[in-house]
Amino acid sequence: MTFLSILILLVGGWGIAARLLPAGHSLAMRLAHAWLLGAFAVSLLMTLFGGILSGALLAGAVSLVMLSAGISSFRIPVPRGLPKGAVEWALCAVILCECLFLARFAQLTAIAWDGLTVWEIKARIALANGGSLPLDYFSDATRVWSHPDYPLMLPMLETWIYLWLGVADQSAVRILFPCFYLAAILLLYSGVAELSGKRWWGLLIAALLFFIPFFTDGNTNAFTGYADFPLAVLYLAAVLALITYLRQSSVPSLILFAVYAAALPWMKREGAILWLCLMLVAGAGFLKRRRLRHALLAALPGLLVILGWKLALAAARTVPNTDFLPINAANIRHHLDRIPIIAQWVAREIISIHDWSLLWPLCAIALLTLAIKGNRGMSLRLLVLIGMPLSIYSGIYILSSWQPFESHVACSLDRLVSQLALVALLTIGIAF
Amino acid sequence: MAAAFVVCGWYGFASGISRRVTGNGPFNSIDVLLSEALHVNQPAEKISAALSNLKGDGPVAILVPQDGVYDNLVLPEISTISWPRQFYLIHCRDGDVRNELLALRARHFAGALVYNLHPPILPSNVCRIGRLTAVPIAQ
Repeated sequence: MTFLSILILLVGGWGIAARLLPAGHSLAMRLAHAWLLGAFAVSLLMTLFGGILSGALLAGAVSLVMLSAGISSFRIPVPRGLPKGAVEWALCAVILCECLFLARFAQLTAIAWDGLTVWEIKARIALANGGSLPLDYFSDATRVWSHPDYPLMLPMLETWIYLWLGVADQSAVRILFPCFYLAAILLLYSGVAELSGKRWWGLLIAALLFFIPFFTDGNTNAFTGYADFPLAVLYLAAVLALITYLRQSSVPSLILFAVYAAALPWMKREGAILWLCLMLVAGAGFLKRRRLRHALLAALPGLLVILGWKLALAAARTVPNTDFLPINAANIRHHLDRIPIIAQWVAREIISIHDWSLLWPLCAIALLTLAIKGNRGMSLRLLVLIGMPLSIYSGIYILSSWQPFESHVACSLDRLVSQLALVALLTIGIAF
Repeated sequence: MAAAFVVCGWYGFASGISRRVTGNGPFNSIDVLLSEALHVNQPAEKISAALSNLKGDGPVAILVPQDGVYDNLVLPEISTISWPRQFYLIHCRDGDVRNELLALRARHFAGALVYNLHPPILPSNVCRIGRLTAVPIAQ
């Protein structure tokens, strides 16, 4: 049943991807987008239909929509041929070995703290309620630690599997996380190969993902049920879609960008910050091309998700999050002395070989290289898309209500940095 | 560049600190955390069974030592299992479980889970799950 639920998701995503991807896209790109778009679509449909349907009817209705989307556009892209030369074959073999190793590793890795207490708990409760979260949950003061205000993309995906199984099964739901990892590999390969024009280089960058210890080996690695890695993959997809739009100016690529940007705040609250950064970079492009209609089209889905979720939380009388103090001048002024401490933490984190290997130093060199090579526009865009969220993420600790606030930084900064890591790897792939 | 990336990445792998599941099952990740704290096998299923035996739909509470050291992973995990009941955390002053249980009875709680405390002489229908004792309260 788990396999069937994943297959339906992929079929639907495959059809949606066929409509939105540019002509001549590769099979790897199609597969990655099929997973990500299918996941977004299933989670949205589960949330929307969950208000009126439950149990088998809910699973049936979502399946029907997904299968219709898939079957109506089931064109298979023309393969671009087998790898050429020993280098490409060797890199393919390396990636295959990495995937086999990680598949086994993921099978053994337990869902960890946030994975259980923030995300999986919602799926478990939703299953007990027929597939949607009951209103009681949002106002339950005894479970406020589970962050009822966090968005539902991951919990609804997990509920989708549980609904098909008929039981909340933590050993089955872990299949979701290797799928996101695989999507990241495929996106990095296809994105870098297309932008650099070198397939072997795309394969090499995709193979390097394995050597970022934070994702493959850390306490909150990509398979521990946290939403940070899936968010990082969606951000990578959004950035790639934005680059494609800025090169082609086509409406399908614009819609693809808008959809991925909208998926970010649906995956995690920080996604709203990533959405804002994407809109700023895209906004500069729209302004240059004088495309107001395109700007509206790009912003609308994300605005609907952000405001719709805010309204739903208010209507459900959700217990407010108390991790941060209210944003006002007095609170900011009172905690400005935290800035040097936060800066030290950020610096320590991004040079941590233990977490990131050489990712961040190489990313900085890559941005410089891009600028020197004359691709200043791309360099500036990627700098904003990495630097701005990092600055906002760091700055928000000024208003942390934890005592001491350093404990808040210690338990979350590395995960916030991880959300930008795939775009940093893409930057390296584009620059060299 | 790629070789340096690989070497440094390999150096970072040494930690291997993520928790591993020991088998399949609907609670296998929760069990990893709870068995560490409760010192018992498959605790989630046992807690779930104990909670399902409680009468009524009243809330449940977990009684923990006031100053005792307890794993902060325990509380959310047990709270997850106890849905749809409301779930309260009560710090037991001076380890006085008996008075706390009487207070919970007055507040119409369905049951209590006594963690790492010595329960007083209790009725025979309590359920011991490692360091946890499930005590029905509602009649």
